[in-house]
Amino acid sequence: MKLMRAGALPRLLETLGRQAQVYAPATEDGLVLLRPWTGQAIATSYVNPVNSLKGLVYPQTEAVLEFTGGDENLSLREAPAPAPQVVFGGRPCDAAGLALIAQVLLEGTFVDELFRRRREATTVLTVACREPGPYCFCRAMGVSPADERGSDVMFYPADDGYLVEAVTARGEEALQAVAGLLAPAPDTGARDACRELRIPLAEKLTTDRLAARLEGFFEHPYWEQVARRCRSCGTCAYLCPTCYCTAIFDTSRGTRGRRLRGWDSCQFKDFLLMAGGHNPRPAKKQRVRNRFLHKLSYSPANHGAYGCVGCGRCVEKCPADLHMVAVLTDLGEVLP
Amino acid sequence: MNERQAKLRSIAGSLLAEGRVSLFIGFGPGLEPSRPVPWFAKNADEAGKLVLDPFCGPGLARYLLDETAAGPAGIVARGCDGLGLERLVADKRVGRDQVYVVGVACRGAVDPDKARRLAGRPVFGAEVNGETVALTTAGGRLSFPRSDCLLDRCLACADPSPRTADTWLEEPLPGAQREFEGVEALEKLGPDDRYAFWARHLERCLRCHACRNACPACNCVACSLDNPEWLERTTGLADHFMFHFTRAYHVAGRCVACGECQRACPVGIPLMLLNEKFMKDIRDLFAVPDPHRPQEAEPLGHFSPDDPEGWREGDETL
Repeated sequence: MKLMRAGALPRLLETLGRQAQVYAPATEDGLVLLRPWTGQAIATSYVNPVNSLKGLVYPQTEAVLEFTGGDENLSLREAPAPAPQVVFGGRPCDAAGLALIAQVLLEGTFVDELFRRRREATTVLTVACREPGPYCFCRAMGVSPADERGSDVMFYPADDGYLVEAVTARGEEALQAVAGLLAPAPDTGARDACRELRIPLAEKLTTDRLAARLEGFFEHPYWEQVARRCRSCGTCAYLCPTCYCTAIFDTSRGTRGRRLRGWDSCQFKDFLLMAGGHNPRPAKKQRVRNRFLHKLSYSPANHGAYGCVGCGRCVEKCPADLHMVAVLTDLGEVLP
Repeated sequence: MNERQAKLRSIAGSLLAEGRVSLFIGFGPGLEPSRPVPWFAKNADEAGKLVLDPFCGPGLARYLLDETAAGPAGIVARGCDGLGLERLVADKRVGRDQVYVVGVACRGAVDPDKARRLAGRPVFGAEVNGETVALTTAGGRLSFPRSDCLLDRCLACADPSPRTADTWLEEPLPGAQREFEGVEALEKLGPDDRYAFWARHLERCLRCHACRNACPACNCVACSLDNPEWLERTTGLADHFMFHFTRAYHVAGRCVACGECQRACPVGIPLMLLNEKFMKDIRDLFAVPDPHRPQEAEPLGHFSPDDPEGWREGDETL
């Protein structure tokens, strides 16, 4: 474990930026977002950036392949390999979200090459939390404010800088490149403070009995009732650090075009619409139920972890306040 | 005690008990007092949980699209909700006889995020008194200027009460004239600066469709912006311009200025500036004093056979 003074951060990013595109939190119109870093001020007073790490490793749209020609002389070209990137300033919950997506896309029978390439090209420098946001509930989902999953280097905010610790070999390598900026750490106080940070909202929630509660709950009238306020937009899924559903589509001009993959949301009414017109989830009730059961039931069954890291973005941003904390709270009420 | 809320609960409870509505749309308890949620009461019990206080933020009118299919619905309506309903009725998407409107006099909704930021701690209650808002916190009551506390859309509001209601919870407040200060400031910028302004904001767009799905004027059964022949699903800046400008053109002359698009936007795009630009132009070009209020002969949605320009150039048959 090392100590880095706060003033050395631009030097660190600049050094790592010689080999990679660097992203860092920036303030824009009163919002903090992870943005390409070109030397601008690095935001420090935020809980979660508006965009999670997801979009940088699993972009909203990306090319699968490019094509030219028609039936006769079709030629295909695979999308170019992604450039190396270093992302500073994401939070432990978001990095844990990346680890969850990796479980689905890299550890199953199908390995998603696009995600694998970009994940391997990305170094994740995570800043652990010293302060909870009003809508943070990570601990309720089994994630800690000092969680190391998905991160390459952990930065623990200290009084005048950061305690810095590599988590992976890639993280070690990054720290070696900036060894001159690091001093021996006096103690582990900053890390301990992050590990012990209280998350007030999480203390009101439990998932202990969730599995039993959801047993036989599929047809419960609750879903119809709660779905009424859903507007079927994609805010929750697009802000979510763990939602990974995408659709494939082509765009073309004349004889040139691209096959792209882009985020989709199970809340959109045409999410499952099939050729021929059949829609297996035509009603909001079915779509809302899918969102929450996927995260609370199918994901633990298939991957051994909830599909939610408690970042609180859906809590803060859903225009109709239909979010994970509301549903967890309701589930405690509607079941005997 | 909150007398308005008690009265609303009683009115909604009676409407449901008498079978005059099958559902009553209002606000109910949310995660915390500053975030009441859209609430759909089906019986007197659920009506007994209705919330009516200055934190009631989300627009409700658009829910009528879904909720009037099974029979008449009741709704508590502020001015913005009332205009939204007028829009849906004018567009023949909801029958006026399918809605029972309980009109209120709204003094503006407190933005829960602004309130928490200002107070620096959780906020349990709010009271809007003229130009100040009193916020209740664990550390006592704190007073702030109204302009710092309310939702953006409420700061520009000229419609505290709906224009018609089936019953009134309280004496309605009269409407005023909308001002377009934000648009005027933007109009003064040169084209490059205006482009930079919109590029900066629209670059954040997630294309989550929260704006469209919040909008009572975006009530089409199928939206052209879902059709890849009109708008591809790529998410570059050019696509975002296309999405938002197309949407603004589609709701031009029909936007009721409820501001719900901007409230719903998760990335803070000032969408109402686009809509207000159209409103201001309609006001000035067509001499329509209140372009956001649905009217008999809508300036962009009405054709008269006496139109000096005819149906189209060279066509004398009309």
